Amino acid sequence: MSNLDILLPGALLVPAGKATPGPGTHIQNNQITASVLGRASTAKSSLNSTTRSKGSTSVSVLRPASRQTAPVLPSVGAQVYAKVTSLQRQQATCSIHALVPPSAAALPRLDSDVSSTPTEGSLEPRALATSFRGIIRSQDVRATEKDKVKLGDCFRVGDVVRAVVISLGDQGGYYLSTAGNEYGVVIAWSEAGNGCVPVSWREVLDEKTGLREARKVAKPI
Amino acid sequence: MADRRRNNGPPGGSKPLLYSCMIKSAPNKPTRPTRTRKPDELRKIYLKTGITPPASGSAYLELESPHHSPTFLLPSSSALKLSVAVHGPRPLARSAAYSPHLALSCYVKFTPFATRHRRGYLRDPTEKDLSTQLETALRGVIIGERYPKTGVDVCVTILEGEEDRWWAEEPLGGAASVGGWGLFGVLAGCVTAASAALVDAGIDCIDLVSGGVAALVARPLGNGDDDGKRDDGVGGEVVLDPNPTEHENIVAACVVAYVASKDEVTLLWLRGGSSSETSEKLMDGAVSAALASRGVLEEALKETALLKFSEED
Repeated sequence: MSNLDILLPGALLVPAGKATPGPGTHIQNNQITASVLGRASTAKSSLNSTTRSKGSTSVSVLRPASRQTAPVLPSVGAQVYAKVTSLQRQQATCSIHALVPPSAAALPRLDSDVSSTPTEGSLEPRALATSFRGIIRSQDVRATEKDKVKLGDCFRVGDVVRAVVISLGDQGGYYLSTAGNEYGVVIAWSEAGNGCVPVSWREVLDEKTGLREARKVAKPI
Repeated sequence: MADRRRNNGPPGGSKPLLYSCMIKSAPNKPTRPTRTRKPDELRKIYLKTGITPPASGSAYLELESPHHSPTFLLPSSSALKLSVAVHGPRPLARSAAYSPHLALSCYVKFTPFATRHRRGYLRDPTEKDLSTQLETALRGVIIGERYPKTGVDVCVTILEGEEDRWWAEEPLGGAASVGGWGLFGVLAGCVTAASAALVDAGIDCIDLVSGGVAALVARPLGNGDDDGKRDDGVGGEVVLDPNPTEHENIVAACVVAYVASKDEVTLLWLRGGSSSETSEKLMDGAVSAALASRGVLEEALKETALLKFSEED
């Protein structure tokens, strides 16, 4: 590869009308401009109701993937893996350690110049350099019978949970939700300290002691 | 028993200190370093990113070191060496309020041995002022809306700072005692290196930002009119990237942080310069110095990218 493929922040790409700005770009003086160091990539943007009627290609700048420190942040719609750190009556606090950014196709792309999330579209979970605080409120644990949720029967401190970010929240932490079959506990530890296997959507089994414990279990993928 | 009520001198007697620069006809009187560059020529810049592995992004900047004279132990002029580490984006402190933008905080710290006058371990007002100025310069280029609820720390460690004047003048005081000229070069270096570190960290920026300095140098005191120095019509000569040890009589200086693609200045610090004509000349000079250092910045970042992409392939 040559020197020419590399774009620095501030490098002009195409006029704003010709394409839609993807991750790593912004609009400046009606020109799509690079905002990170990387290589340009163009992709046919999938048409949905909110994208521009032209439905043209989307231009983005991809950072080098080899660095683990490329900034990834939880954003609304992102799937996260979090460890439960404390349980209260109303909410469970957890620390987010990895996340799958919301894919570019799944989210409606806004037309504003700086609103696109700074993430690259891959479905592999990416480890975060620092953990972020997350909060699962009792009404967000499952989709049905929300008022009968007892958090003690859904999680245990130390469990790893797959959840989805529903809001950036206030100063406390990101609001997570486990409503949905694919969300819930993925790694559970029993009271005796042994690893557990899921037996139903609401129970896990400690294989050593043979005891069952209540959890909101995620559907195995 | 010793007399403790009075402040007596030492029992052995001592001689007053005599510096060789105070003697008019000392055999090896130190000579002021002279500027060998053209007025619009910058010192050579060394810039490299990714030198602090635990940080998300980092850069090291060094200016060309002057020739060392073998007669004296002290280096005759000063140089600049600094290292920048960018940490983040990381979650804000638990007590911090919700912020829809990136919270940028800058910390500029001189190492205790950075200058001839030893610096303390705590941040002094000068360092706090430099931190605020650097923050202003960088805030203009970062796209903060993309990083809600997070903070980025930019930590600058100055390993060697520019002196405010030539060391032999220090005991003399006088006109040369107007201080602070060295901070201009330091701040410009901080801006350029911090911009490189931010890009290395992969934080979205609208453009690169680079720093540049220009100074107005008047004729040395007591010299006649005809000393071969250029006069730019504003009471002296405008030089880019001044090394304060090389000039006896700096009367004004200006540092800018310049964003080339938007033709915007995110930081301007001007000292001295009584007339608007002087200020304009200095600002133009500083901008062209910033443009020149941008060239180095771009090359360093291209090198970074090539290295990162070759690891990937």
